[in-house]
Formats: sequence, structure tokens, C-alpha cells
Amino acid sequence: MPGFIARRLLAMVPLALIVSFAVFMLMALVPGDPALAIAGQEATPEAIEQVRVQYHLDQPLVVQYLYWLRDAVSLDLGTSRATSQPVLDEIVARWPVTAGLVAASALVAVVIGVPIGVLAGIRPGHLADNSSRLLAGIGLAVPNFVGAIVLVVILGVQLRWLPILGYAKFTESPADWALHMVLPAFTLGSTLAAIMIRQLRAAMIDTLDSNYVRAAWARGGSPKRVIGQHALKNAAMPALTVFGFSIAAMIGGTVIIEQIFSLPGLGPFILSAIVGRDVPVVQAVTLMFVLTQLVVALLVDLAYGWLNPKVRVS
Amino acid sequence: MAVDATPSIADDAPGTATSGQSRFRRAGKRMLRNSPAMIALGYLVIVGLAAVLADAITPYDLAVATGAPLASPSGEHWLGTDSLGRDVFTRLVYAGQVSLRISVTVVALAVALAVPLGLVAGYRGGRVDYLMMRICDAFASFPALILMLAVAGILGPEPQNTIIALLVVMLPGLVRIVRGQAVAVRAETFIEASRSIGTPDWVIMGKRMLPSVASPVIVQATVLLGTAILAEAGLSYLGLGTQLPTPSWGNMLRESYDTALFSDPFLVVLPGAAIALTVLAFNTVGDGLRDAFGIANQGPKGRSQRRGITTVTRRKPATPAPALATDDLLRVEGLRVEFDSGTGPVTVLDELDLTIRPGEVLGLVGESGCGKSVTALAISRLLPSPPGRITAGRVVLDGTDLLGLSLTQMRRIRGRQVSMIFQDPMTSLDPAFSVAHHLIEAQRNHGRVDRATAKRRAVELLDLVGIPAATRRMQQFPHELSGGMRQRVMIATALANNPRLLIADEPTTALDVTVQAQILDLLRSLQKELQMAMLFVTHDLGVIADIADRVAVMYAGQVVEQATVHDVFASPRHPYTQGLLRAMPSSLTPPGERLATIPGTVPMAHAFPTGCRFAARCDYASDRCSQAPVPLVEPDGKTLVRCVLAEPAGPVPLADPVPAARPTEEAT
Repeated sequence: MPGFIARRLLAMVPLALIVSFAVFMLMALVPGDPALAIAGQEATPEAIEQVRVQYHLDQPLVVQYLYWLRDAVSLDLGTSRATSQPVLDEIVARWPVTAGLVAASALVAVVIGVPIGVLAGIRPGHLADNSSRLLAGIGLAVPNFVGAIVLVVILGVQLRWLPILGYAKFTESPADWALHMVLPAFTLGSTLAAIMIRQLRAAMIDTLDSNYVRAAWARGGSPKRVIGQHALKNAAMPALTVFGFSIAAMIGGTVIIEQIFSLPGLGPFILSAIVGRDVPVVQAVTLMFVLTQLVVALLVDLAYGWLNPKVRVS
Repeated sequence: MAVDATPSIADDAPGTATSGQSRFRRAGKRMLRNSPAMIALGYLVIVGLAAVLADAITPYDLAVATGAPLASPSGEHWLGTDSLGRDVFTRLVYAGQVSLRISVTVVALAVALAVPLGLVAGYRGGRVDYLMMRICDAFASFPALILMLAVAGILGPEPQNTIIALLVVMLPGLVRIVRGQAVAVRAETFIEASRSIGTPDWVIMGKRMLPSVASPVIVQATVLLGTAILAEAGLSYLGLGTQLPTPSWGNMLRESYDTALFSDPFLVVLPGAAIALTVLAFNTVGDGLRDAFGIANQGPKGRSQRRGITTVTRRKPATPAPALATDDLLRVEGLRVEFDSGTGPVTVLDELDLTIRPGEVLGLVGESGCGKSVTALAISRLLPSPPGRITAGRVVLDGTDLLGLSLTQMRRIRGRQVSMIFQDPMTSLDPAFSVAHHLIEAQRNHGRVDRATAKRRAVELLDLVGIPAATRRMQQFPHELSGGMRQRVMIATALANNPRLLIADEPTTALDVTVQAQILDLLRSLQKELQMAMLFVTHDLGVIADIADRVAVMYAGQVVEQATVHDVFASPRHPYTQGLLRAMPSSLTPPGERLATIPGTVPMAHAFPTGCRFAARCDYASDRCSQAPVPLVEPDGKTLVRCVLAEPAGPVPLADPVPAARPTEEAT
């Protein structure tokens, strides 16, 4: 098992290289002179030239990338061209916000999606199933940011039950943190909850019709054992795979949600960097998103191996 | 669940190879019956028309203030005005035009690119396929939204750049879908045949494969239209898509969120609702198309499923069981099973009578589709309801009518008094659980057993069914065992509680010939050793001769002959039994002679004739056969037979007697 994890972590290295190189090249497509952008419109030609040399902008692109890579390996992700702050500091401060939002949203998705999906799958066509299908349909159709705004209007503006904006650190006040997370996590998690409902429902219907479930009934198993153990464990496998994919999509979704709810996570950071063509920030934050996604994928795979003995690693 | 004699509703079977034309026409008909999808389609048509005819139907200029700011809806301004006094209805319609134009363009481009790419990758396979799939993987490892933001942000907010950004995100998934479908179709025999006669590749891809790929692509394109609307709205909301003053639903949402959230939340809700309804409509139409094309079976709809026990709806209350004069262990009397089909209930089993004495082996034999497995499953009430339903008869085990029991009562019988083994050992063990788990569960289903005792008993059971190194096998999972091993494990679980009756539903059919003989030997020796009665379902008369004491021959949902093995083989009464015996290879068949066959096939359950069901295939058929249902009679006190020639008492004339088959010794 440790060997497997080590191999998987190692396999992330080439992918991280490819992604960072791709982003680097993409940023090079930005029209305009980056040196001028950094030095400012009123800078003298000498000052611009100095910036050009300082940031290695006079070198070929590949060399520039290698400079970036050399620094990145020693955890120096450069300085933001907009704020002149080290990018790493910003990421260290902001990443926990985003990770916390992802975790809270995933929790919401599991708490809502799993029981409803399973129940709907056990009794397809039942009232609970039909209402869950409607719920899932709406959850998938309503975009995150629309849902967010509706929740803000109702719960925040009209009823004033929950804070609309802002953030409290988990380490300082967990209760405050949770209160500020309710709306963002619900809006971000609702899509995933809808996906989980659909997946689990379909998977439960399939497994309940399988030969091994019939055989489990034939052994005299109780509904609790046949449905709760045999059907559920098998239905969890495809659902978990989809959960993994969707978490990845959700990580991207944090950008909009953080923007709407003014959460000081990575989202607003990369958004302003994209608009301001702040290459080191875009580069580093993108890489951060990709790495987070890969780690989540690894965790999902480990969980999958625990469920499915066929892929269990020895 | 594979149950033979399921009423075939051939015209509804998904995936049947029919001509593309009629498949699309049928899908269209099914679509028309799907009211949510039609409502959604209607909404989309209205939105689409409004977008196309925007100039004609909007009363005001897009950018000019025509009323007081934030006016409420009125006759003049149907949806009110925004914070700058502009007509909201006008802006909403034009915004829809922008959003739809971008989405339709993106999806059209995606389809135009993905179909050829996916077809080539799927058809060519090899290096081309590998390369394309790795590129798709690389894109997939990127958080889609970040990628889209980066592309849109870097290229700038022109519409064509938005289109490129959306395309980059959507294309890989669509290519993957087309490719997957192409790979599946490629394996079909008609493609192989086309290749072998030298049809050019582009003709195969364009004319043969494209129609098969079309329906999933249409479904996916519909859903992608919704996704594109969403993504465009997201980009515009973030300021990276459509730029003001050009309105799009996304930037209208942003504008009203920033300016009117507290003063006029209605303005925020409108573009949000437009986005959500349109996406919902595209998804609903996509789901409808998916159902109409029969791509994904969403499972039975509109009725709830009863899990774990077959529903019994006997129209007449069953007469109380008479005191058992005989020492029968199991009596099945007048059992009738119906299946719900699209066109109403279909009777698949009728007037079924069987008896099994303690320690006796009854062979149940017949062609595929005769209802043998349905019988086996109905006795233990394991037929899934719906579609199966028991509508008449009794199944009396030791004086108890099993058809009157609840699930809780029934499960005390299953696995303890009546155990089952199934045809397909590859899928009958749960892949997620170890051998030990199966064996221990079988014991714990019927009372408290501590783990150590259950484990010891499990090892004993594995020894009993001839699995070597039982302790090591316990830790293994089904996928680590061969088919024969799995069937042995199935038998071990079935024997865990020393059942009085073992129902074996074609237990050797799915196995290798050599393994078949081993499993058969094992079952025979276990049956003798444990003095257990057995209902042995098979289509192989040789196996029956080998293992059974008595035989019931089934045809088209009825028992047509029931007697001892010796009587059935020595003097078969029913023409069908005679036909089966003649069709059996035997050492007495002269070399070079063709084996006899029974012409025709078993009729479908919905087309059972009123009279004798075998008449259409019978050499002796006359007008008498088709007049009325034929009863099961006992002409000679030994054999039960369902044939008009058997009444009144007297033997059925035999044109050419069947060579007497060997009873027990020979192995199959």
C-alpha cells in the first residue's frame, strides 16, 4: 500500500510538469509586453529593460520556464506582479479556505445525496423516488451561481438567518466558520448531491437486479443484509467513481462561489490574476488546483480499492 | 435478472439492430408520449423563436432608458425596468439571443469535430486511438472551469474566444463518447463483414457506423447545449464572457446582483430563472431522447418495486391445504405465474403441478423458454415483482403454503429448509465479499452463531464440496476463483444449514464440460450423503438420466409429462418427450445418421394457443388438439401426461419407438 501511494505520487510529477508548461505557454500568448506591464505605463525605457532582465524576459520561453521550474522546486513560486508579494505566502493563506469549502460541499453532497439516492433506488417509482428525481433535475439545472444568489436573496437578504458574505477562520472559531460556510457549501454541494442521487439510484436499481443479490435473498438474508450490505456496497463503486470526477469539477466551481460570497480563497486570487495577466499567480494557482485534484483522485482510488477487491492493491 | 420465458416484447427491446429510419421514427413516437420532455421542448421552441425574432417582438430599444428606474411590471414594461430604466423584457430576449447563439455554435462545432475524431479513434484503434485518448485524459486532468477561465481570460472577451474556451472544455468528453460507441459498434458482425468484403474505411465509418453513433451524440449534444448555456452564463457573470453593454443572461445576473440585490431582488431572479429553466429544459429533453432511443434504461417507472419476494395475488382465496395424505415434502398445485408486459399481463406458467418426496430428486426438463427457471424461482418466491406475479395455486412445503408467507417468514425458509443454486456461478457470488463472508453469512442468517464456530463450519463446508486448501480459499474473493470453484462455493453456502430441499437451476450449464461432470458427481454424492431432496432444472436429458429419480417435462409453461426416470426413458408418452429423446445423442445412434430435431420453436408466452401448446410442432396433431385446453391425465397409473391421444386410458401410439436410454451409470 505505501508503495502504491508513493508510485501514484511520483506519477503526479510529469503531469504537474506538463500542466505548468502548458499554462506557461498559454500565458505567453497574452498580447502586450509583459515587462511594460510589470514596470508600469510611465516607466522609462531603462526601467523596462531592467525589469526585462530581472524577470528573464529577454530569454527564450523555454529558458524562462526552466527558471520558473528551478525556483518552484525550492518552493519559490515567484512574486505577484500585481502586489509584489510572494505567491507562496498568498497560497498558504488562501488554500485552506478553498480546501475547507470543498470539504464542506462534499459533506453536504454526501449527507443529502447518499440517503436520498439509495432510497430512490430501492423503491423506483415511489413517491420518494419521483420527488428525488425532480430534486436532482433541479439541482443539476440550476447553476451554482444562480442557486447561490437565490439562497442569498431568501436566507440572507429576506430572512437574515445567515451571513451573506465574509469568512471566519476555522482555527479561530469553528462555529463562525461553519455559519459562513452554510450558504457557499450548500450551493456548491447541491450539484454534486444531485449527481449522487442519480448515480446511486441507477446503481442501486442495477445491483438489486443482480444475480448475487438474488442469491443473497435465496440464502435467507434480511432486507438489511441484502440491501444494506450486498446491494449498497456494490452500488457504491460506480457512485464513488463519479463522486471523484465530480469533486474535481467542484474544485473548479469554488472560483465562482468564492467570488459571490467574498471568501478569501484561491478563486478571487486567480480571477484577478487572469484579468490582470499576473503570470506567476495564474501559473502557481492553476498548479495548486491541479495538484489538489490529483490528490483527491488518489484518495478516491484508495477508497475504491477498499470497496472493490478486484482492484485492491496488495 | 435473467429469467427465461420472460415475455418478449421484441419491438421495445433497446439496441436491437433495426434500420436507422424506423428506429428514429419509433424514438420520435416514444418522445411524443413523454409529456415532461414535450413541455420542455415546447419551452425551448418558444425561447428559440423569441431569440430569432427578437427585433420583431421586443417593444423597446435595447440600450435606451424608456421608463423610470426599477419600475414594477406593468402593461408598458411587462417585466419592469432595470436600475437604468431600460425595459427588462427587451434585454432578457436579446440576452437569450446572445446566449443561445454562442451555445448552439459551440455545440455544433463540438459535434462537427468530435464525430470524425471519435469515429477514427474508435475504428482505427491502435496508436491513433491511444494518442487521442491520452490527449483527452490530459485535458480531463485539468479543472475544467479553471481551464475555461484561463483560456477566456487570456484570449480576451470576444464572442469567438468564449466559443473557443467552451469548445476546449467540451470537446474531449464528446470525443470520448463517440469513440466509446464506435468501439462497441466496431465489434458488431456487420462491420466485420463489411471489412472482409473490402468496403472502404470511409464508407464503413460514414454509412455503417455513423447511424449507430448518431443517437448517443444527439442525446449528448442536447445536454451539452444546457452545459454551454451554463458555462457562457458563468463566464459572463465573472466578466470574462459577453461584455456589457451587450446583454447576456450571465452579465444581466451580475449587473442586477451588483445594483439591485436589495432594492429589487426580482431583477436578480429573472435572468437566473431564464438560465435555470433553459438548462433544465435541455436536460429534460436530453433525458427524454435517451429514453426514447432506449440508450439508458432508467428502470421501471411509475410503480414501486417489492424487494426480495414475489407478489402473490390469488384471485380466488386458496382452499385450505388438505391434510397431507402423502409423505410429500413439496407439493406445487395449480401454480400460475404472470408477467406484466407493456400490453398487459402475460401468463408464463399455468396449472403447474409438481411433487417431491423427501430425499428424492425430481428433474425438471424442457427447452429454453419453457418456464423451468421461472418455476424454480417462483417456488422460493424469488421472481422479481414487478414484472413477475403469482396469480393462482399453492406451494406447500411440509404442510405450509409458501405463497401465504411474508418476507420475514419466507426468509426463515430460504437457505434453511429450501436452498438454491443458480445457473451462473460467475455472477451469483457477490464480487465485493470474500468466500468466508458468504459462508458465514449463510449461517448467521438463521440464528446467532459466534464467529469462531461459523468459521470452523465454513471450512468444513468447503471440505465437503471438495475445495482443497479450504482455509486459504476462505480469504479469497470470487474473481480469484474459477467457474467450477465458484459453483462449489455456491453449493457450500446452500448446504450451510442442512436444507431439506435443494433447488438447482441449471447448475452446470455455464461450466466447462469436464467441470460439469465433476459438479454433477458432487451434487449426486452430496444428495445421497445428506439425504436431501432436490429439484434439478436442466435442458439436458443426459443429466436427468444421470441424477434424477423422477422427471417432469415442461413445455410452454406447462408440465406435459411426469413419471419416473425409467418410465420416461423407456416409454415416453408425450410426443414432445419422444421428440426430446430422439434429439438426444446416444451410443445407439448409427454412425453417420443425422440426429433428429423437433421442427419449430417454443411459442412466445403472449402467443400460447388455447389448445395443446405443442400442436404446431407435433407429428400427431389433429383438429382435436386445438379445440380446448388439454388436461393432465394419468392413463396407466404411472405417468401423468398432457395429450389428447392419452385419453381415454391407453398408450400413445408410437411411430418409431425411442431406443431405451441407459439409466444411471454413464457419465455425461
